[in-house]
Amino acid sequence: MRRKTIRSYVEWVIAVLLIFLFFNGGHLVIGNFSADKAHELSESSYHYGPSEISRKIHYNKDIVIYLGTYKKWFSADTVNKRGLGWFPDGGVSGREIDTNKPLTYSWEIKHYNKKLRLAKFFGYVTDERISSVVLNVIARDNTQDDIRVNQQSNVILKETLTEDRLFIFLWNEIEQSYAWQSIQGLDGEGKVIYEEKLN
Amino acid sequence: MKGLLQALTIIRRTLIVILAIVMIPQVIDLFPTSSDVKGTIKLLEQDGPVTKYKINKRMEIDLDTFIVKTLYVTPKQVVLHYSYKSKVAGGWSLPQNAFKLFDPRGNELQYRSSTSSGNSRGSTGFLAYDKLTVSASNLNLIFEWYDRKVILNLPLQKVGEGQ
Repeated sequence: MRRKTIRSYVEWVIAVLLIFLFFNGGHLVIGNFSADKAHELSESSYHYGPSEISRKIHYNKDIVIYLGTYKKWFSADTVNKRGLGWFPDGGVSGREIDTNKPLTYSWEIKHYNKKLRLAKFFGYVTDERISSVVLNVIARDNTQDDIRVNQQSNVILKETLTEDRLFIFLWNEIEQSYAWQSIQGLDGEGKVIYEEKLN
Repeated sequence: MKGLLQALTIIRRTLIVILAIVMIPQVIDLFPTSSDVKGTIKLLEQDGPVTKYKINKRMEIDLDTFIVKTLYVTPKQVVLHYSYKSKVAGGWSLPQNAFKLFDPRGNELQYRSSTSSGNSRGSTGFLAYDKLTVSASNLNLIFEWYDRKVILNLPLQKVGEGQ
């Protein structure tokens, strides 16, 4: 009986130790408990930020994008849920805002799985006269297998700017692949006051 | 009472087994990928005579620690042996190209390459820079990355000549 008691004590110690170790470094395996925590870890380990988040975008239940600025940089840090926890996933590096240009843009395309190749096209607008941003693209519908019905069409992606002066366009390259034509800055009356060719 | 003890035993043992299985990747992670320090130093000897300087100086980068262990000067390059420890595991690895090396006159020795090995808590590795063009009694290592800037002076005190 006494031997059994000692044994149970030893087992308790092992169990407590394992629980401690699990919570101490557990996010290596199970990830972070929240998307925000994963984003914090992403920036702190990259020695960038903490950035001021303007928009937290839940792209789907497993992907969260943090669009924000930090001093003279902007970024769209992305975190991804795998299994139970959240992990840093890319886009952490800030791009410097070019104040000599009306707008500065950046982009990133990441392949997640057979159904999702996420494209992010985002930027910061310096020119105060610009009130909306347009990304002109040529779209091809990838959901049709038959190449003859794969008609191309011009598509306009438009976003009206708010106080944060940031814009972001998101799409899934597997459902819809876009060939970028140009990025435009429009004033309040819809007149194009800045255009940059992208192809 | 006996039933309770039995239940506790089951809970305890289940906990141990589940946690042990879940933590296998963590245990594997404790063993860093092998770092071939001797091999790298041997390679340096192909450049000609190697002068070794013991440095052992640290810089704090946010919450992480970067330690310059040794510095090797060859006729062709300057190589720095470092170790890096992250306060929090599971983040991005060290941006090695953010480290710039300057001689006392302020001339930058261009960053050439790096090798590293480690786990999610840190790493050790080598940073290689262009050769010294002037004789120097110290060098400045500057970590410059976004708004972070940390300067570390590396005094060069000889400990031994390579073969």
